[in-house]
Formats: sequence, C-alpha cells, structure tokens
Amino acid sequence: MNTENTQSQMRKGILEFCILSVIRNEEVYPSEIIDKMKAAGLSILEGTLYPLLTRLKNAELLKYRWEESPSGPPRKYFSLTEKGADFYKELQKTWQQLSEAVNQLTQ
Amino acid sequence: MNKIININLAGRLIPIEEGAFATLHQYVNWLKQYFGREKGGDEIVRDMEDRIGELFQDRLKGGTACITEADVQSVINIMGSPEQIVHEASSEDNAEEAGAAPEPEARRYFEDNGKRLTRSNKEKVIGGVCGGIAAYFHIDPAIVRVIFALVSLTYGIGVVIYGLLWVVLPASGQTHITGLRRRLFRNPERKVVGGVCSGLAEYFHVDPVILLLGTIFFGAVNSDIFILPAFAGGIPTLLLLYIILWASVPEAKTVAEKLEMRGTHVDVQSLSQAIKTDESPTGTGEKIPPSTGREGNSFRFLALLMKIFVYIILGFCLLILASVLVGLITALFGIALSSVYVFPFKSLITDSETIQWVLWISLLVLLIVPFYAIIRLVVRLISGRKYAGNRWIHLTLGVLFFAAILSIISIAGLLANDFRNSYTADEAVAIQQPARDTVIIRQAAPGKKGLISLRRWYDDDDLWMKMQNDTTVSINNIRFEIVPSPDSLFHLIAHKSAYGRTVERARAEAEMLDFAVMQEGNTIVLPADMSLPSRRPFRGQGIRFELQVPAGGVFKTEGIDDDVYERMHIHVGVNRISYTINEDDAREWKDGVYHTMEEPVSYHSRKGSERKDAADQSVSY
Repeated sequence: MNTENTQSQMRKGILEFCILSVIRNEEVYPSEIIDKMKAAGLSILEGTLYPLLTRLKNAELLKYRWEESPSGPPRKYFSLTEKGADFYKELQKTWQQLSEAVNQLTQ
Repeated sequence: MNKIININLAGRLIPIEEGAFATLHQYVNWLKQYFGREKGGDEIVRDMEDRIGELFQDRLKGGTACITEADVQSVINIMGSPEQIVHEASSEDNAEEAGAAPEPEARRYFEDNGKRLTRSNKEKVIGGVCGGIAAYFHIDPAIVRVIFALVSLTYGIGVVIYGLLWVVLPASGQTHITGLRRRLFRNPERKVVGGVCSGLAEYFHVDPVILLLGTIFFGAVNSDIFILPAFAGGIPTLLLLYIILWASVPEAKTVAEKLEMRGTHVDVQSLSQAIKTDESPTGTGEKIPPSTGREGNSFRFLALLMKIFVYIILGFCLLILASVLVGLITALFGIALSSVYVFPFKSLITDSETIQWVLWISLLVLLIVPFYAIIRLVVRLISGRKYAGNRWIHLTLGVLFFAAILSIISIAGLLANDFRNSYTADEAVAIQQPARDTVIIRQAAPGKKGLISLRRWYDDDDLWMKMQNDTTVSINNIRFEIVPSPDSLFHLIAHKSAYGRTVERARAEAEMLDFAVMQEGNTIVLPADMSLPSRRPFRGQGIRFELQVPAGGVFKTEGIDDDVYERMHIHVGVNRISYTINEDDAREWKDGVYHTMEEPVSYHSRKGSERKDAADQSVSY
C-alpha cells in the first residue's frame, strides 16, 4: 500500500469539513480560504478548491455573491446556506466522534 | 528577444510572452477538458481563470513588465498541475470518476454488440466458446458450460462441437456479460465441499440445507457407488452432476458477483449496501447461519461425512483421469516415435514420393497436436493459471490438425483407388511327375524373423508380413489349392495376383512377383512367403498355387495350415474397403493324411466324396 495514498485519503475525508468551517466563520473568497487553511497548516491546491466549491454550491450548501474588489474584477464571496449549516452540524458531530475514537485508539 | 502579446484573462489585461502564453493556453484547455464533464464545469474553469489572472496581476504589480514562462509555471504549481489535480481528485471522488470511465466502454458494447456470435476473450475457461455463446444468447455462461459438459458425456460429442466452434468462431474482446439479472455461482461463504449446493440454493431461492441433504440422500441411495466408484457407470448421476457443476460454475468472489448470485439487481446503491453488510461481522442477513438451531451439530456431522465422501470420489476420479492422460500421452509419444522408425518402410504404402511425404507429415501433425493440447491442458489444470496462449498459434494448430485429417482421408482414398482392379497372371511351374503318383506337399519354414513383423492379431504363429530391411518385405500371402487335374499328369500352376489402379498396372505388379518352389523327389516344397519386389508398394500381391492331381493320384499335405485354402479378396467399394474370406475358398484337405483324388465331379462341391475323410487310416505305400 502506498503511504501517500493513505495520507491523501485521510486528508480528503476532512477537507470538505475544514472548508465549510472556514466559510462558516465569515464570508470569504476562494484565495482567502486557501490562505487561511495554509495558516492553519492544511495546504490545498486551488485546482482542488474551485471544483469543490462549485460542487458544494451546486448541492446548495453554499451560496455566493459578487463583490467589487479594490484591485481588479469582482470576486465571489461564499457563505453557508441553511442547508449548508445543517450539513455542517452533522459533519461536526461526526468529526467529534471520530476524533475522540482516534485519540483513544492512538494513545 | 521575445514577442509579447496581450490577453484578456477574466477581464484583466495581461501582457504575456508568446511562449508563456502557449503553456498557459495548454493548461487552461486541459482544465476545460478535465472539468468539462462535471456539472458546473464551466464555472469552475472560469473561477480558476479568474484566480490565475489575479495571480498574474499581483506579479505585474510587483514590478515585472510582462508574464514569463517561469511565472506561468509557478502559477500552475499554485493552482495545481494536471497530475496533482487528478491525483487529489481521484482519491476524493472515486465513485464519480469510476462512473465516468466504464461508460464509454459500455456504450461501445451496446453499439457494437450486434448479432455476431463470437468467442469471448474475457469470459473464458478454455477457449471462450461458452462465454461467447452465453453473451450472444444473453444467458449465464455457467449454464452453457454445464450443458456442454453434459453433452460431452455422450460419446464426447460436446468436445467435438467445442473444437469445431473454437476454430470457426472469431474471438472478440468485447463480449461481456452484463445486465444478467441472475447468474449461477458457487457460494464461497457457505460451502461444505465446493459451495455448489449453496450457489444453486441461492439461485433458486431454496434453503441450501435441503439441497445438501437431498444430494447425500440420492447419492447414497444409488449405492453402486460403494461398489464401483471409479467407473463412469458406477458414479451416480447426481454426484457426477455435482462435479460437473463444481468445475464449470465460477465462484462468486467479488461483491457484485455475490449480488448477482442472489438475483439482486446490481447498481451503486445495492453495491454499497452490500459492501457495508459484508464488512460487518454478522455476515449477510439473508442466510440462516448453520450453527444455530438444533440441527446444528448433526448438520455439521453430516456435512463432514459428505465432505469426506465426495473427496474420496473425487480422488478416484482424478486418479483415473490422470492415468488415462498418462496412458494417452505415452501412447501418442510411442506412436510418434515408432512412426519415425517405420517410416523407412514408406515405400510399402506407395511408390509416389510426394504422397509418402504428405502422409508422414500428416501423421506427425495428427499426433503432435493433440499431444501438445493435452500437455497444455494438464499444465493449466495443475498450475491453476490461465495460460494465455497465443491465439494465432492455436488457430494454426487447429487448422493444421484438420488439414492433416483431411489429407490422411484423401490419401486413404487414393490408396483405395489402387486396389480397384486386380489381375492374375498364371505361370506354370515345372515339376517332375512324382513316382508312384504320390505327391507330398510341404511348406517351407517361415524363415528368420524380420526387422518388424506384423501378425494377424488372432494368429500367433503365422507371420503375415515381415520387413527385412527397407527394401525387402515378405508377405505370407501364399494360397494353395488342390484340384483334379484335367489330364493324367500332375501340374503345379502359380497364380500370381496383384491389384492396381488400372488393369495394366495390376498386371505389371503381378508379373513382377517371384517365388521359388523346390522339389525333392516326391515332395514339393512351396514357399512360405513371398517377397515383394524391391520397393514395390503393397498392393494385395499374392500367389495361389494350384496343384492339379490326376484322378487316382494320391497326395498328402504336411504341416500346411488351413489358412492357405482361404482366398483373400480385397474389395474396394464406393465407401469401403473390405477384406473378405469368400465362400469360394478352396477345398480344405485334412493335413497329414493321404488323400486320393477322385474323379472330377464338380469344382465347388465341398462335401464331395467322404472317402477322403474316412481315410483316417493312413495308407502308406
């Protein structure tokens, strides 16, 4: 088995949750999301983020609005929809259970 | 010096080197194509272009006059190179990706399926014939195999049909069994011996225990098995059926196959559900676990018995099969070897060089091809691997085999043609008139055994054909008869006969025959056999000696076998060659006793005057 594979699998599992967390805190635009995640220690490709955002938006978990930016063309600012907020709560519960279990097992 | 062009990237004006633009353009095109099949793919690409533009703009603000190749590369790395994006995405959205890929294949299948009956390259155990048939008729291939196996039991017709189809049908990689609602599998999860009963039970939605007990019951009741397990007649049909099914029905290994076994429609939902329930330790809920219930222990015991039972039977069968195979192989090998040895005597069969060579090659092919096939089969069975043999080799071998059969048949026909006409040449043998009108006839000793001797199978001491060396062949085709003489003298006439395609050829062959008759006083010694003229092929040559005894003459044969009185006739009919001992055999005379020739009454009266046989009293002179 490939360690890289397993590692990326682990990341993949919680990526959605992390992105939604970032968006939940405040309205953000994509490159901000990336910066914040990098600051927290989780790097993500823009090539991965954009498709993910679009899918979440198509699933009606996110919505966005255009906002004029001081430098250049308008940006998309993302925020959670109600459905997204509910979805997020579910994920949060799952994450808590998971992290407790993992912590317990890896002691 | 580089050319700079201006591009409009999501509303931003970006000056960029021409070479760098090419790289950028390629990347964006890849993004468009990659995300193209996703819902909202346009939006994704637009967002990414926007972001790229933003990044470029930052650089430009930072002081560079235009975007260079290096810039483009670093931006690509930030956004994610195609490999990285695919890698990240593939582990994430497996279902989506996997859903996309097989579709074009399936579409192709539905377009190209057509009405062609082919062999299957994918669905094959031996040659894919059953798989192809199954795909064409849209039925479970296991069922086709079982049918073939059953048909093969009746004189191996199935094998012949299979071979024919194998050569005739083209192979196709596109036949794939899809869309079958229910397939017959062996159930590996719940198996006593081979899981056949469980698989059948799932297929018919019957409790497997019933099937198992039924098999034991009927197997035991038909109790020939306790006496002669090894012979095909002794093995009860049910157990034989079990073995056939075991061999031809595949085991349900993947989850999808297990679903098919139960007859559940396979789609993403049922698949994921099945995976989940499979992983749980309680196993699938549909079946009754064997360990619960009062019948638990006795069932286990019975199951164990059954297992031992079947394994013993199987062991026997395998042993028999193995010995048959070994016997077959050695026989083929032996024949192949001896044909090399026998081949120097090719001139015996025909004097045409080409025919000789064709014959020899055909024989070799005929022997080697099955030899090779058997070895391959054995190796494959033992090693369990599917030896992917080269298709062209198989095709060529198959064609060669049939060509060999055809050529041998045609050669046989040609040879038969050579026996169409016969000719008998009469040659008078000079003999001295014996004293006292008594003649004794003997036959010479057969002479030394040749290099290779053929006997008639029922006749132990009578060598029929001897091959001394590659030029001399002796045939014991001497016939003899004693008839009344037309005059008052003894005469010995040799009738030399031979067969040939035309009368002229027959005559030529006949006249070539040579023989030696010796006379010592009253005793005439006839040759025991005759030599074929050098290098002449065997064409039914024979010599029939006719001794004409005058009325009142006495004669006695000593040590002459009854056989000489037979007449050998070779008939070539439209469809057959036969060697008949006709009714017009010469009259037999009891050996070792003096006979007196009577007045000629009729040539064909066998009874004649019984005075001959009454003369058991040896009359000596």
